[in-house]
Amino acid sequence: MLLVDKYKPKTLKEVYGQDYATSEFKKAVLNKNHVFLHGSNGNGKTSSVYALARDMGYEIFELNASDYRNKEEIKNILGSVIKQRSLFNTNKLILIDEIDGLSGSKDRGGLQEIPALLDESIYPIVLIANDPWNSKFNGIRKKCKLIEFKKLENLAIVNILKNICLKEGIKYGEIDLKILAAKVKGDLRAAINDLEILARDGQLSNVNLLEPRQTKEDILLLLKLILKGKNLALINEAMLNTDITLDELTLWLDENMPKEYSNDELEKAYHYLAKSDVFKGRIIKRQYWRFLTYQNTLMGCGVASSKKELSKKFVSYKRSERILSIWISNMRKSKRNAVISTFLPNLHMSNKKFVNELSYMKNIFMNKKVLESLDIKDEESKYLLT
Amino acid sequence: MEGGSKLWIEKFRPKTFNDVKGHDAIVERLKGFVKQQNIPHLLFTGPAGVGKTSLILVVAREFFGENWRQNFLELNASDDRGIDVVRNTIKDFARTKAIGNVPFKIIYLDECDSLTTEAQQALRRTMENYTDSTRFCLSCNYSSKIIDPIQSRCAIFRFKQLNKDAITEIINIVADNEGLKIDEEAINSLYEISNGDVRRVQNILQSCASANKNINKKLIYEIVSVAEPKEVINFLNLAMAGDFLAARKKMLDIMLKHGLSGVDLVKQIQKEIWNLGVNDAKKVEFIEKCGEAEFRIVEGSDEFIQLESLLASFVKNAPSR
Repeated sequence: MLLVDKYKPKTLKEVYGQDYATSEFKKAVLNKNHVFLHGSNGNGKTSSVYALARDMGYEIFELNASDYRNKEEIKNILGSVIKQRSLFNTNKLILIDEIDGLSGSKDRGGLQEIPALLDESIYPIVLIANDPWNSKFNGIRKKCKLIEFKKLENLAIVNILKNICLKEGIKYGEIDLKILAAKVKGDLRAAINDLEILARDGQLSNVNLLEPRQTKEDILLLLKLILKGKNLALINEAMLNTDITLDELTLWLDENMPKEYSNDELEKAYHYLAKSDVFKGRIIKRQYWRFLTYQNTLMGCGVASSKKELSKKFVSYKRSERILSIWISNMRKSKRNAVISTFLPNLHMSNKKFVNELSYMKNIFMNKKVLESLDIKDEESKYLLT
Repeated sequence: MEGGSKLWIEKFRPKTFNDVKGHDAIVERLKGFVKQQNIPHLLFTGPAGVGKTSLILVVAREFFGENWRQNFLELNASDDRGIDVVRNTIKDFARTKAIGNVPFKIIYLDECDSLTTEAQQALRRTMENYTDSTRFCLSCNYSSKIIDPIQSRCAIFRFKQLNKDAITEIINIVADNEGLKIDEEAINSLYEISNGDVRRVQNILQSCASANKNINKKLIYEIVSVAEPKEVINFLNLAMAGDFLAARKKMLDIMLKHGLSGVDLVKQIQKEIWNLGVNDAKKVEFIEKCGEAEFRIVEGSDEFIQLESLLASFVKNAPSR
């Protein structure tokens, strides 16, 4: 289980640093008012809704960005919910999360449907967004009680992290937690995720690893997650949050996989990496970016899941030198082609064909007279002979 | 060394119709065109090194005489492929009138297999628009790579692989001119190795001659074995022995050294699988994997990853395990 899930607040009281907001929230729901929760990411908005529901025994109907939310869908799903009494006569709470995301072609008309819902519903509706002042919410704002979730102070985040470290038995340095907290800019969820990534083997490793400019360290961390572990949820999370490009990661995996895996495992891992690359090719050709999910998952989770058991051996990861060797070889090639191009027109064949033929002609080009007649200088001839 | 200062592939290129060996029927028809002082657009198809380029050069000489170069444009589609060449170079050349007392110029497009479909489409209009001033001769290995509308505008000549008699004749001409001694057995092996590719025959001959004027089978195989190292089978054997890292290193070296593309290498691997020391069922299995890898190279973006994946599956399925 991810730490973020494990330490999700179970009751409203556990929602950290938002006492005023949560009490207002509770009051509003008890008064059957509609609520519009807003504030930056990862400071407890959605968690509070679930915590409140648990506290008061409410049933939750959630509609989030993973669902289609166009006019019809919203009507179909919520239209009946807002009028029907619940099966066991419990109260209901209707949650429409991430309404900033409600737009675009697929959710057409969804936003326009909400004011009507607010009017009709006999149950409190909770809306969540980062920025409530966006003009597209004009029709919605006045029908709801606005409650702001404040950005968490760094100190608050540090305290929460400390608490988690104690409970998990993770050794930590105070300064590391402070750096971590500063880095996430008030996003508690991100902080806990970072903690999880850093806290391997009961020890908080160097927090500077998380600094974006230290991509070398960053990539080692990610490689370790993928090549040593099997925690797919964690890998997904890490791949979402990392600044490392998939191309870069491919090269690193390519270079280091054979050191961790062998035989069946290696075949499987390469199979996934190769498949992931096929999806990349398809994205490039068709500009169909939904394939990115598959490229991503096959590369991270695919490679990770190829291992039979967790690897304990010590491996020092290296950067692939493949690109460099290709570059060097291309430089040689372009010099060779420059030499060839001076006499090629008289030979009535393409560069490609001549290069193909060249290995049969080595002996011929060792003959000085031949070189002279083709006007090839001595230092140029070495590009023909190697 | 006497006469050794020129490349034999140029020195012994036929200058007249009589110098051309084999292809009697094709030569006869081309002679007819020259006699009538008119030719249609031509499409030459056939394997490498049988004389397609040589023959069109002969035609150009016969038509234009000494000034043939001014009225003849030769382009290699595999070097200058793409639509820009058709739109610029070819059009510019076709637009101007022929120099001297000849009715048209000739544009020779070699290796049209690698001409993109768009370029071929662009070519099709150009061929029609400039028939007054220009004739096209296209050459390729497989006519199926040429779009139908172009095929229908051309007289098609299919060149067959040169038979042993023609090759022997060519070898003897070179031997007589260069003072080589070459025995029957050596001629046989040259024919086998070259697959009837005259360019290859002449290059091997000249390479041999730089070492020794007495050419025998052994010398030929020495030259050829340097040119065709057993590198592919080497890294396949490493894979069969279970050493993925060594096999991979070797594979990258080969690709870079010879400038092979992923598809080139898969082709070679697929050929070499028949020489592996594994049973037939395994060979078929491996070849199936090659097919999958080739497909993925075409579909994917990083050919090296695909080849490594192939290699890893060879290691896994190696009989040594």
